[in-house]
Amino acid sequence: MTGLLIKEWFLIKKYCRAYLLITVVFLALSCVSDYNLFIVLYPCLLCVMIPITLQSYDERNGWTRYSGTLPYTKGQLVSCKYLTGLLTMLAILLATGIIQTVKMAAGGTFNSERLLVILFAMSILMFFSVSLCLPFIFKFGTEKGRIVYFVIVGLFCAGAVIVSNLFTENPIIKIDLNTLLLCLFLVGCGLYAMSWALSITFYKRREI
Amino acid sequence: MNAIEIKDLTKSYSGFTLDHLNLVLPEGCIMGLVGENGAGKSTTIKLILDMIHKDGGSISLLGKDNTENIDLKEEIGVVLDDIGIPECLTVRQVGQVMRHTFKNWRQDRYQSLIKKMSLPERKPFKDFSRGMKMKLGIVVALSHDPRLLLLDEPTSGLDPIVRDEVVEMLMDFTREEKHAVLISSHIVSDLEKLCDYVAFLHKGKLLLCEEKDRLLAKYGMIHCTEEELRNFPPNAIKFEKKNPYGTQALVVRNAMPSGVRVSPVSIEELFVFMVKEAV
Repeated sequence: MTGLLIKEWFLIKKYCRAYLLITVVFLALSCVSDYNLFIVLYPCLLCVMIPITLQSYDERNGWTRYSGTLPYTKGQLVSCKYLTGLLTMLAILLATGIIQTVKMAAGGTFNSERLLVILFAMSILMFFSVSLCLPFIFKFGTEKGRIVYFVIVGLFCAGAVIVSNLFTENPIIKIDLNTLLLCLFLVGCGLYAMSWALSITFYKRREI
Repeated sequence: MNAIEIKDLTKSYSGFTLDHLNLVLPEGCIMGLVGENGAGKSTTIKLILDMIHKDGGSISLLGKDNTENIDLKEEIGVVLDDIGIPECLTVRQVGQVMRHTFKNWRQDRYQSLIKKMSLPERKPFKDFSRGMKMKLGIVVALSHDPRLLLLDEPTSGLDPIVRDEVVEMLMDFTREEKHAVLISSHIVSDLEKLCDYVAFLHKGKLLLCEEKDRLLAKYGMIHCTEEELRNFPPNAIKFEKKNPYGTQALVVRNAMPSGVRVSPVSIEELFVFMVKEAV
């Protein structure tokens, strides 16, 4: 599968420069802003954008069809996109981790718990967005898959708002933020694994 | 051993059915799959490569079931009509990707073929002409020691010079005894130069699959008047076409009376006659 990852790297270098620039800008902004959650979390969306963009170029270039003639299983072709998502995720987490540590240390406010909360929140967002998106892309192709993804994300956000209201309005349901983040992180990991397996099943059934 | 053995292969889409296709390509041979657009040539190649699911029948490649093992694709070189190489990649980058894709990748052969074909190493694929793209596709297909080449319309849209170079490359490949090629095209003249066997596909049905030389020896063409044509045995006349200057007929040479001048028929003429007969 190394060949596939090398190909993805060449494509990222060529087509995803804008995403890299956006990430750098937001990372720089997160250095100067006062823990604005939007600025810290925004680069996480790239995790989902990069695999979708790559898949979209694959379809446009005819690579989707051509890869079917190469000695790769459909499982490997799908896994390549999930690994790319994971590697992007790791790179963003690492960059954020370094920047936040430097920022906190420079201000004399280093707080490992706060750093972990940021990194966990980012991981959760990345796991959920990639997990929800990619199966639809592999089932319906990038064009239709993107539409289905937006519908699902809309429903997911509405669900999240309802659940968060339940927590704030009902004093009986109380949960510690750290426990909640850990639970969501574990759910995110599980969801990523399930999404990976589901995408392989979808792609195996799809005729290319 | 047969390079390809297809038995009773069927595949249905709405408006199209590949109907119980039976085909055998022996090792060391080149087969041309001839058919008009939409005849089922690309569907057959996709089914051979297990890129689409068959409804019935069996396909064996180099003695193994085509769905059995992904390693089988190590032994097959494929060129699709739209190639499929990512547009931003250069020749050098394609080499890097393929070196990590095929176990038997021969970088030295890749580089020597690139040089032979005068392909620019630093230009991205999107800036290549159609001919250069096709040449790169064929170079990639030849650089991992394949035993079987599958080519889907490799010469369509190419100028005569490039077509000739492509045909030359394929001829080089088949000098090796165990190599086999299945090449689909609707440019029949190219196949005539290359092929040992010809298979005619029409609307998903196999009209014939025969050795090219045997076909050319079996059939011939006569030009005569309608009256003269009526004097020949009916079993000798396969198809006739009237025009203002007389009648042209496809005939079975052996069934014709001796002394009648029968001209050679080209594969293209034969195909056109057979398709019209099948309509």
